[in-house]
Amino acid sequence: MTTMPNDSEPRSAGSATVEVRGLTKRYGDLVAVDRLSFSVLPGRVTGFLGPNGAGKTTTLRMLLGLTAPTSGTATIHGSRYADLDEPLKAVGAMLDESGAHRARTGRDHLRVQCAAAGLPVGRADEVLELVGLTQAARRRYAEYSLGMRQRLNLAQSMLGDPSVLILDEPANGLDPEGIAWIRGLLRDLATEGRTVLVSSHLIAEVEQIADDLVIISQGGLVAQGPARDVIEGLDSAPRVRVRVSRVAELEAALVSGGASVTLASSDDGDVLLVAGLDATAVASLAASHGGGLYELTEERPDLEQTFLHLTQGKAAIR
Amino acid sequence: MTGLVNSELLKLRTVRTWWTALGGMAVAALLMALWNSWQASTFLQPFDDYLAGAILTPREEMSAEQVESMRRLWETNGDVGHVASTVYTSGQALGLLLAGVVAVLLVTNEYHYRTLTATFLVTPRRGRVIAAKLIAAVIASLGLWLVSTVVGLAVGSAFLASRDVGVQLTDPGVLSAILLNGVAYVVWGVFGFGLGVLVRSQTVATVTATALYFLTSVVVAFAFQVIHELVIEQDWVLQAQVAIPGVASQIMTTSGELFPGAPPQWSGALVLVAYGLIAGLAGAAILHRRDVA
Repeated sequence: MTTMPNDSEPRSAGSATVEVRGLTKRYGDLVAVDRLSFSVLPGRVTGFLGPNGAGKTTTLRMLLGLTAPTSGTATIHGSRYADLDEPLKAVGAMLDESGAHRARTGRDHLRVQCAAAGLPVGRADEVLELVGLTQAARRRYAEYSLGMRQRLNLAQSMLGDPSVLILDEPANGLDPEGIAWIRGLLRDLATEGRTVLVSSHLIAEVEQIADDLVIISQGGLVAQGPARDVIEGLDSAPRVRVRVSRVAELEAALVSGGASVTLASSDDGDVLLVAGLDATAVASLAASHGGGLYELTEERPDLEQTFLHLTQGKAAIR
Repeated sequence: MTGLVNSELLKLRTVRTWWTALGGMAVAALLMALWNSWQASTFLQPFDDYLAGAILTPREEMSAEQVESMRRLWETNGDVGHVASTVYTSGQALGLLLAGVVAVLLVTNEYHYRTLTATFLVTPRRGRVIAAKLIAAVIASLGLWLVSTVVGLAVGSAFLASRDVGVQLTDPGVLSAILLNGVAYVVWGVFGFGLGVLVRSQTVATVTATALYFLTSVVVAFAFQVIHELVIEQDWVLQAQVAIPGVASQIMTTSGELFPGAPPQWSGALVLVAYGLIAGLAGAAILHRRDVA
């Protein structure tokens, strides 16, 4: 995984293709998206993360002109989606709630859109091939499994061979094989110099492929930047977990040593979770104040913990 | 715009509903054309034969007035122009409803199957989508009219030939009946489109279109008669029946007066088109601004 921009493609050099500035959406008293600003760079996969209800889908829908922002702007290649001359050739979108007529075949579903977009109808067969649906192309949508529907949805986003891809929870309904496949595809699309913005409520889903992360919670930006920086910026403070016989005495010594201490209980008795001191310092204090030392480990939060920490307490309201 | 209309027509052609509607149209037109031909065959007999076949009472026992009124009926219905017009527009009763329902579905399918997102992603300028749908609704209505007319012409010309009468297609009255029939189909298509845009729910819009279609003068006449007799004794009260879509449709498709003092044919068409366009424009204005879910 690289965090450097892909410089081999000229169109990937530097400037952002997707710009969100002060984007806000209110539904009555509810603020779904709150003065959100971020940029997305070409040639990279950007993970758009947040707990369920954080405003990810609303943000993407505003970006695609399906929902009108209360204020702020969302542009692609500097234009609002509705002002793009040939939107399908600029942007491909895969939205969770997009369906198809149940009596129509997958192929016809795509041909309808080719006709409206002025694309050659042969594009339908090409994208079906790309997502591995050629066998099912002439079957009715009603007969499609959830995974096949997701693949058709993805095929739809690829119709115009767009330079920007916006995908809302694309892994939903896919089996592990499908998830691995879509990761590889998104990786390849970014390597070709395209902009790939992919949302998820599970950080584990995107951590393997995301070059950049945009994390939101309660409609507001929490963190943005290269994935490694976002993650390192947060796990630079490892915790030390220590279990001793004289808990209260060690706790006092740690606090006077400048650490912040949380008392937790585990199956084996009380445990101190120490932040602000490294393992060596905690060990030497435990030797002089803790009595019997039963356990001492350094804990580095993984990505999922970082994510939960970032969005802590904010997910509960909706 | 051509691409958008093609796309809308492709949406129709790629689902079975449309082909079912066309098939239903053909069957209805065929059955009604045969029925109308059989009816007409009685009127095309000499008057004495017609009277003997139509009335059980011996002619000697009928009053002169009765015979005279039967003769007028025979003269009107036995007119070959009238016969041709009737047979060539067969199936209209079902066809107009089909045109309305197909147009309703053309719009409400997008909500029902959640395809509006995809449609608006391809064409973010929503006004163009709405215009393309209206044009497609008109074309679909004309398609239904074409099928019914072809069937009516086939049956009607064969029937007339069997009576040694020409096809009457040079008769301006017959031609205008065929064309007015087409106008009626288009008018119901526009009306259905407007209803679909405004109502959105597939079931509610379809049921509403059907209910309005069958809410004809037979059903509403009584209410308007009561108002006319008891509340406002003005002729315009009876004429106001044209405001009911089903009645407007009847007035539009009936040559001559539907009921005494009925407003002219064109007023029925005008009322339906006005409803369709007002509903369509109101719906379009809402759709234009509304967030797509």
